[in-house]
Amino acid sequence: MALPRPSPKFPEIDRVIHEPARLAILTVLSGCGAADFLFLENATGLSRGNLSVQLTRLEQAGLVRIRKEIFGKKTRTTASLTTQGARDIAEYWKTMDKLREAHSV
Amino acid sequence: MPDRLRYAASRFRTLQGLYQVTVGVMMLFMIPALNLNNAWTIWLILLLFILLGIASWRIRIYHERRFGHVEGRTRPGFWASGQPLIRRWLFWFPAILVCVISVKVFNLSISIIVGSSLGLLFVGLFVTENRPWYYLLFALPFFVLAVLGRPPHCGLLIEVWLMPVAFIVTGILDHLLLVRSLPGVRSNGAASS
Repeated sequence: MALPRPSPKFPEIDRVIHEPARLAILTVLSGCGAADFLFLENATGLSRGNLSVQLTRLEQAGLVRIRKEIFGKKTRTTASLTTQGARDIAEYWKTMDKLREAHSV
Repeated sequence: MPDRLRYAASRFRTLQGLYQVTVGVMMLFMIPALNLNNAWTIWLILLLFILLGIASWRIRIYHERRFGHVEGRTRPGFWASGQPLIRRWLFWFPAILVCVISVKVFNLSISIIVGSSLGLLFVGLFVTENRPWYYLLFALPFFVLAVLGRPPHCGLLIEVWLMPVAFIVTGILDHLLLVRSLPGVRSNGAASS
């Protein structure tokens, strides 16, 4: 009986990025320069609490920069990708594409 | 999922179709106003422009409150940042040049020039501004009118009315696409209604 062929080495995936809510936030931010809290809430469909927690986690990981500014009488929270964040999310999708290609062969 | 998320963020500005709807509505009112031919025409047109300004201001506030705020991406490097400008130039310069040469060399009628120019406008929005595919559909009737002609005694009436209608319909479709690409807006809307 032939032994199954060893699978190619599974690429390392960044766990901070791989979490669906954080991945959604990073993907939205990769499509623009910066987005405010309301737009991120609308685009990702996350609740305010969850979005806030995930943004803090991404900021702590150095992937996202958070800016607070006064707009009218309200405070507007705007998030944008850091250079590292932009590089890491691009790398993540490349890894995912490679995995998909390897799976489809 | 990633494509939809990126699409919503990168096309946020171009999908704000309500601005286009107000321009279309203003054009619809402008056509009879221009035909009045009396002393009130100029005041009526001025009033329409003031209403357009107020409508645009209200739409901006509506977008900020309903959808949020997005800043465009500033790409590093001269070529990367100048890419949209180059793309526009590569499309519009030859297009205008061909139009001017055609008019001079072939002595084309005004209806062919107007029809094909309006058709080109919608193709240009699709090519240079990354507008959705239905912009091409609205270019088609203008080209058909330019090539096949129109009923006698009709003049440019069809184009004059078709243009605002095309603006309004594409604007509404853009707005619907924006709402569809933002699931949070839909769920918030459902929750509040």
